[in-house]
Amino acid sequence: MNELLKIILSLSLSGTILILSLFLLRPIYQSRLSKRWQYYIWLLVILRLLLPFTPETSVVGNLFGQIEQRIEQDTATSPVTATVDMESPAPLRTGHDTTVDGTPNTITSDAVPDAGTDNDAPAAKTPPAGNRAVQLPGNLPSTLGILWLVIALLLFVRKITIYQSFVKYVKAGGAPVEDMDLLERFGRILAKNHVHAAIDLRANSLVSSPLLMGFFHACIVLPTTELSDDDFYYTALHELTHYKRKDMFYKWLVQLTICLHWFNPFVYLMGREINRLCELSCDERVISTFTEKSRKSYGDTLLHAISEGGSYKDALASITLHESKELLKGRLDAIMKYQKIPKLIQTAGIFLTGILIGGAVVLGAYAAPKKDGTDSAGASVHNPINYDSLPDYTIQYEDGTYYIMVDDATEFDKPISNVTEGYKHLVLVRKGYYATFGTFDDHDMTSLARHIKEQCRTRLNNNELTQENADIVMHAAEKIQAYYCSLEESGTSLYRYTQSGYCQYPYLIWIGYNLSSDAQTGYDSTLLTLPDQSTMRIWFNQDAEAYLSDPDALSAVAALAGRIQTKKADSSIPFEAPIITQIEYIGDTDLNTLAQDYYSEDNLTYFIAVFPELDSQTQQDYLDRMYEDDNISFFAACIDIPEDAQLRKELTDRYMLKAYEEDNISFFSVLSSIMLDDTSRTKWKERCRKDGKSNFYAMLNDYETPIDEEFSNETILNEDFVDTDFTDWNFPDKNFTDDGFLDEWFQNPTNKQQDTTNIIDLNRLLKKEIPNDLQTFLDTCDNRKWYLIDDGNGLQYIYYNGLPHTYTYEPNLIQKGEKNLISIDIFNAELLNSPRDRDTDESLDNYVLLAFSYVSDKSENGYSLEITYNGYPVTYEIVQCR
Amino acid sequence: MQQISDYELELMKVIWTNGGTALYAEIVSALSAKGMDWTKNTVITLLSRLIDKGLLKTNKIGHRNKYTAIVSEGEYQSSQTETFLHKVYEGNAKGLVSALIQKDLLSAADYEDLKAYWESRTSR
Repeated sequence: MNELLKIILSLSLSGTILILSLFLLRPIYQSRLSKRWQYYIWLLVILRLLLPFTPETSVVGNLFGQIEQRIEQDTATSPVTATVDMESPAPLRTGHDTTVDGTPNTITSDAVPDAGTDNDAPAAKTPPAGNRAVQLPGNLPSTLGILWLVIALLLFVRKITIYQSFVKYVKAGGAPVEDMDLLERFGRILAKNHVHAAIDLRANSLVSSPLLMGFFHACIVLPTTELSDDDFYYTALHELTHYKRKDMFYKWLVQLTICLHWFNPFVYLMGREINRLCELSCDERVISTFTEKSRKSYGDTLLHAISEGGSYKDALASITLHESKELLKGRLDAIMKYQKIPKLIQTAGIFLTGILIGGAVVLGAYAAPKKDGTDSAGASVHNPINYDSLPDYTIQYEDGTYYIMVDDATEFDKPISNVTEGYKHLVLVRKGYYATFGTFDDHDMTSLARHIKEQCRTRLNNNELTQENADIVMHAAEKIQAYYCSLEESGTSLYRYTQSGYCQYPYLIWIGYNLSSDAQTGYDSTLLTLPDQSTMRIWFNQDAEAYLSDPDALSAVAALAGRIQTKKADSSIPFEAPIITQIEYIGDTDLNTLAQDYYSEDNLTYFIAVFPELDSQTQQDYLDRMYEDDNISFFAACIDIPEDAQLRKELTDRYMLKAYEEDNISFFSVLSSIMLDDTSRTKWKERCRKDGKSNFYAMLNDYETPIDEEFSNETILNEDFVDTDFTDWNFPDKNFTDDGFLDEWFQNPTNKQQDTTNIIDLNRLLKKEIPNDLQTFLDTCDNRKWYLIDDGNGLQYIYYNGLPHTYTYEPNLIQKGEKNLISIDIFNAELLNSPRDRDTDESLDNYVLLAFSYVSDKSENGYSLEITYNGYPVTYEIVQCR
Repeated sequence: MQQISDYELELMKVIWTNGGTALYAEIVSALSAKGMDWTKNTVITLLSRLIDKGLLKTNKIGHRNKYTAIVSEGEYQSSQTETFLHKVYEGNAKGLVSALIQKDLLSAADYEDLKAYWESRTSR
């Protein structure tokens, strides 16, 4: 459903409930409370109708959330049935084979359901449109949304033009009052009532009664100047009171509300009631200082005005002395019955106001799609998931992506997915649908379940995810996390699966090792005797399994395995469970020629196999050439290949210096991430700091923590980079600044029990993970400004428009007196070219977006937030998204 | 030129006398000297009517309004005379002059002056 339409409908509904309650309560308050209260209490209804402000849990919000969820469930299932229906006619089958053949075969898993041919062809077309398919039925609401807006605009514009022509008409048809006596009397009345602005006095025999026009250059128009002193005095007083109370603004606010809620009959009733009360309360105010005799004269004035009026009438928004005889009667009654409101009743009025305000707030509006409000949604996340009811699924891992394949899904439902190296994400794949979660760095993976829970909660609240899908993902995330952690401990980490090409005459052999035990079952294997007479099981994938029967190739493989094993013997990454992925016969072709060819063909995979065999000088020549060619991928792959450690060090130092001096941050970052030990890193950081190269510095910082297993004891201190101007900036307590603090905190069992308290959670978001309405909001944000955006669901986003995409951040939590201080340090880490959106090829830079939620242990204390960017304090604007 | 009321003319005269521009306070004190103690609303309302009629304009000097005459006293007088001439004498200037002479509103000396003025204009 169209968000705008939902908001306006929910506002209308909320407002209607308030309007009805005010009308229903009228017999109770009408004669007891002041007219002024009765007049201004409608302002509350107006505000309710206009402002989409809503509390976390609201009556109308809930109602809409439920309706919406039902609609979403309906629409979510329908496309699937539609595709099934589509394929049943026989003629369609002719196209199947080609589609299936044309699909790249990247399947590495045991998890493909044998759904095979029948369902696939139409499904293959659905994945890219997967998300869109769900939104298709939303066309109608969005048309309605536009219709609503157009009508509202037309109505409002019409009202304005009518008013303008009325003003013109009245001015043209009359003349300014030139009777000095009258003007002077009027001037004295103004002075006496402390009206400081000048108000003109005009006469127009065509207006039906005295009226007040204009907002800033106000003007009172009289039907006649032949008024008795009393009549003129009271008329002026009445209109001045309108002027002083700014009733014309109120009236126009009402008109705006009516235009926006044109489809709601109750707002018209409300408009009439407010008009009535406007006059009544104005009378009340005028006569509040009068004696009974004056009150009677005032009533006479109202009566006189009727008989003198012309025929012009403005039903819109100028302020007339009277509008209808009915109303006049009521006003005369009120004038005669006027009495001061006793204190007790006044108190009751305040009380009633409180109740109504409370009501208006609780009624709320549809602001964020929410199911049960944050709390209960949170609770449902904490509830154990009923796994039995979940559909079966399998988990596949490919290049940083964990695919959670629910049983109804096929390979074709899988989106083409890629993720920056070093990051992981999860993709839930169902038939004709997928959802992406992430991205996570290695560090996040150890607390994956928590991150996923957080992301699921947000999306559940936004109705971007069904409860079932959320349950599946959360369930899978627990498994993945457990698996990941066990690999971490055993050292045969999944992410340590390493693959490289080697040259073993007369073959080029590509070998991967530390193949996960899950994956091993999928491949053929053979037991080979290595040169040192030990045996090793070696797996062969589809591309290489043909060589299992080739003894020459097998002996080459064995020789290579032996060679690598010797080389890796004392490495932290052991050489185990190798898999041969490719073998290429090269005969006795000269390696230099091959290298030359592969380099010019830009064939890195082959080049890397040959490169280690080249002599040291040739290698260095190639590295120089890569640097000159700006060929960063070749350079990154080759720089740590030279076997001599001393030489490697020399080379690194040389190229780092070169890159540093030439401001070539991409080469510098590659070099520093591959080669740098702690001592030289510190030295480089020191140098960057001295030279003021903040981007180099931030980049060095970026690699500090996540790479090493144990968290670096060297705290990344902001002081390193603080300008003297900021010396009084309050720096976080050292003890808390290391990245691991939060995770340690979470792993502490005593903290776990109360894990709803004191949680700070930061998610780095990809553009496509941003909720739609937030995205719309972000588009309006100013360039080069920081924002703290509150989405009203307990989630906050830190946003900066104008910063490269690649960055890292550190959340720190500090107890600062009674309050918690959250400080978030964001480091620019401009590593490579900015990533591009896969679908639109749009550059993803120019924004930082961190989703951020925090639950304090003492709710009343709250927290304060400090953001630094590259060590500099950031001033941000706090905005509410809706 | 739009017709202005007598009170508005009083205001214009004050401004002309003041050299074509005047601040509100200057206008009020000049009026008061003439025995016209008008209320603030009257003065400002009349001034803004004069602005609407195109005889005055206003600039802000700090927080104060400075009123400047767009039309000079001479321009106003000749324009008014023309209106008067058309309205009463149907454009017959001779009638007007003879009326002036008849009523002794034009002295012999005035007449000589005018004659000299007329000759200097026609001989040019």
